[in-house]
Amino acid sequence: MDDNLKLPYWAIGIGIALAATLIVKDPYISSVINLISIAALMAASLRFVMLMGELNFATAAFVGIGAYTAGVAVTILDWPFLVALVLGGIIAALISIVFGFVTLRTKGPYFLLIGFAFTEAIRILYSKSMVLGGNSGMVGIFPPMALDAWMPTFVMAVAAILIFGLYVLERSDFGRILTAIRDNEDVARTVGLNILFCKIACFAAASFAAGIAGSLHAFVNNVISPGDFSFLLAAFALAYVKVGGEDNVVGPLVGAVLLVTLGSYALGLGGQEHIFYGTAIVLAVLLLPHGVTGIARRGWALIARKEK
Amino acid sequence: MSATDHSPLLRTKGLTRRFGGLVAVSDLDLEIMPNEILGLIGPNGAGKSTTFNLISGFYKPSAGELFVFGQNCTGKSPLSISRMGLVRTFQHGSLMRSMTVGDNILLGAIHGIGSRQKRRERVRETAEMLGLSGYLSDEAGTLPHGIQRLVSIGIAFAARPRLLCLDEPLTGLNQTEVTNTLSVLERIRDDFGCSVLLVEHNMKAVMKVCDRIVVLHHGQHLATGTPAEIRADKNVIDAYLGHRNEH
Amino acid sequence: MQTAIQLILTSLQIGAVYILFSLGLTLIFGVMRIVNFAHGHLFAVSALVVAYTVPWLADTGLPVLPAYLLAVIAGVAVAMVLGFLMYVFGFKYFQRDMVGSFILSIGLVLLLDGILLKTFGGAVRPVPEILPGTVTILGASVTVQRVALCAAAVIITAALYWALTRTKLGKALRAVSIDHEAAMLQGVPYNRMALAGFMIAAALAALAGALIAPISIVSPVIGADYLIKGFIAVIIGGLGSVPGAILGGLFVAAIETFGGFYLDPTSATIAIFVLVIVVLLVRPKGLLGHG
Repeated sequence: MDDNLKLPYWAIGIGIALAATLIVKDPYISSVINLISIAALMAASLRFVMLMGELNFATAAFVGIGAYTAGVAVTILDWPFLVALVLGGIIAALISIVFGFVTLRTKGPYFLLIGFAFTEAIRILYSKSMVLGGNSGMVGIFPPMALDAWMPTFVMAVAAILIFGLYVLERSDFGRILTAIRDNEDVARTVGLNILFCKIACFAAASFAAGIAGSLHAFVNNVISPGDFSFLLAAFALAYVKVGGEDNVVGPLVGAVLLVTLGSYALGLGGQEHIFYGTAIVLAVLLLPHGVTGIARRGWALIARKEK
Repeated sequence: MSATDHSPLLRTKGLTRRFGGLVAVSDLDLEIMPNEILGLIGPNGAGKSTTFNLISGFYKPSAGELFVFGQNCTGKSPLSISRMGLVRTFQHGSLMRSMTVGDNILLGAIHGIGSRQKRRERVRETAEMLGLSGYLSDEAGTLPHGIQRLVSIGIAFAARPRLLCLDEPLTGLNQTEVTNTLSVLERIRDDFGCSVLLVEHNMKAVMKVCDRIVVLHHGQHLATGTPAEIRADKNVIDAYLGHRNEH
Repeated sequence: MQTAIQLILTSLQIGAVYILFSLGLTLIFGVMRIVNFAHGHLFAVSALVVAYTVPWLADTGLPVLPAYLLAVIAGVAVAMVLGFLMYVFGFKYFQRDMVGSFILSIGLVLLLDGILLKTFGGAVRPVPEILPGTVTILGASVTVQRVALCAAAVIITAALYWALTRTKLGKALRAVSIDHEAAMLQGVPYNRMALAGFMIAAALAALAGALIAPISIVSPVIGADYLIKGFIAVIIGGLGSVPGAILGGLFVAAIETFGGFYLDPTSATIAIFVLVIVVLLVRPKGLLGHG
């Protein structure tokens, strides 16, 4: 029952990350930083549902819902930027509650595959809707002019707040219920805990984060289309989680930084994104079951033992 | 209050459960009184586990009624029955292996307690009662079997049930651990006024700790009585001897 | 009436491919408890090999039918080698680990996507007509090739059904999928069963790919669509259930064909999704699912 939230580490980590975004002036590096922040947020969302033992491939759908919500709010309804941003998360969370209410009665492969099917079905809906721009999507989703120069810092800050929020939830008693659901759902049910409610709550919190990631994606790219939100998005998020290590909250962040940076570099060399991410996932699951952070931890433990 | 003190905590009326053509539990009338440890015994396949699943809501009865604390609970979900104060454990691995002992027990203390501080207070109390205070921050899956069994009871008891149903809590324990667990059960009854339903194969232990014993045979009620009465019951002796002869 | 018969025939033809797909998926899940998303690539590889080999053999002067049969053998062989590699270097280590195996399969999907696109390019490959002509069934005309596809699928499915219920290997596979621990206690060698199940599934996907090549447009991404439909069919029928996979495959194909004709393809896809949700609401483990 270690209730230590390690606040100083978080403060220092977020501080350094934000300071770094302020120094960067190069537009290419800025765009990579934006990609990293959004990737990290998606990975944290995916991992949050993994806490209760489910793989949530609907993550990609909720990122898309967030992005399209923000797009509609800004370009069609002319609502203010911040409202659009937050609305992306709220709509994603609301839809996830309905979706979760039906699907979270199933488990394991059923939940996984239904999330996958949901992602593809939602994508077809976008491409069919004239209001949402059909196959070509929506254009002109701009953040306010004043924010332009500060965008990487802003995106990073929003992502950091949400990831920290998920972390606080994970370390709370609610987080322990989630682990209990993963370990042994029946036991949790016998001591008066409403398992379905807790699962939906977990799913909704993760989907809120995914929705915000989608809003941010829309504002950073200014253009969105149905093709952006295929199940591959969730597959990439899974790569960040697996390569970084799923055992603790830092893992997905490390994975996102590593893979997005290397991926951008590889693309610059004319490499192929799919081969790159595929190889990363295959090697990570075969060779690093606990990810890069798992290796780092073991290395650290070795050094600590030698010093004794 | 005094009127309800003598009414049963749990009462089943003609409880029946069929699986296809097989009748696992047939027309069972069962009563659990306040402040008692009730043993539920019978040869393998007698319907003990089915009975257990029926009264905790995990199975729906094919016929008959179930009253918990005076309320008709026939067909209610495991969640609503557990929230009324009837908590059960499972025969196999009734705990979260990857979590610490403290976090395991904490699970039982979450529902109904709003304050984080009070939950931790409840965990400390429960652990102390079970003699688990020294293990609070150990990962449950790594501990010896005997300790794990106590943790299972701890999760259930942290919810402070009025009726605690234990499914073979003594399996695989050595003599010292059995004695220790039995004294825990007595304390649960005496200090907390919680009744215990005990399904168990260890006959010596059941005879020692139970106030009353119910014997099932082929899904049917065979006998009810104090340990002394059961020991002398001809039907029970026949059932068990017959059972032994089959092997 | 003629339209209805035409639609039924189309459903059967699409359904035949879905069934071959979902039989493999359900077999792998039953025996190994894993979800393999790279299954579609075995299908794609086989179809691609056929699409490239047939014109090449035909150029050497071989008649089209023998050329096709040789190409089928080559396609199935290549796909099975790929399947064997997947198993030996990957899935072998992830038996009964749903999350781990799925993640591995997603990695393989991305990797193979990239490799296939690089090797074969994005362009589609037409395959020359193998069995020319059309036949009339109950007043609806169908190409001979499609009838042959259906017939082949029915024969393969029947053969598999027979093998699973009558042969020693089939019985062992079914025993493992019902309760692997009990089966192992009975002396069933689990690892060999897992490999056998995986390879049979790979062969089913490869045959489906080889069969579809002459009547479809073959590209490296051809597997993806069939994979999704195959999985939906298995969810509806119940993972691990062989009759469920057949039922689910026909169900999905019928909705797709009739929905596509009377409404439009998009609504048909949405309808399939709604159907899955309804089935899961009523039966969280599919229509015929167990365990």
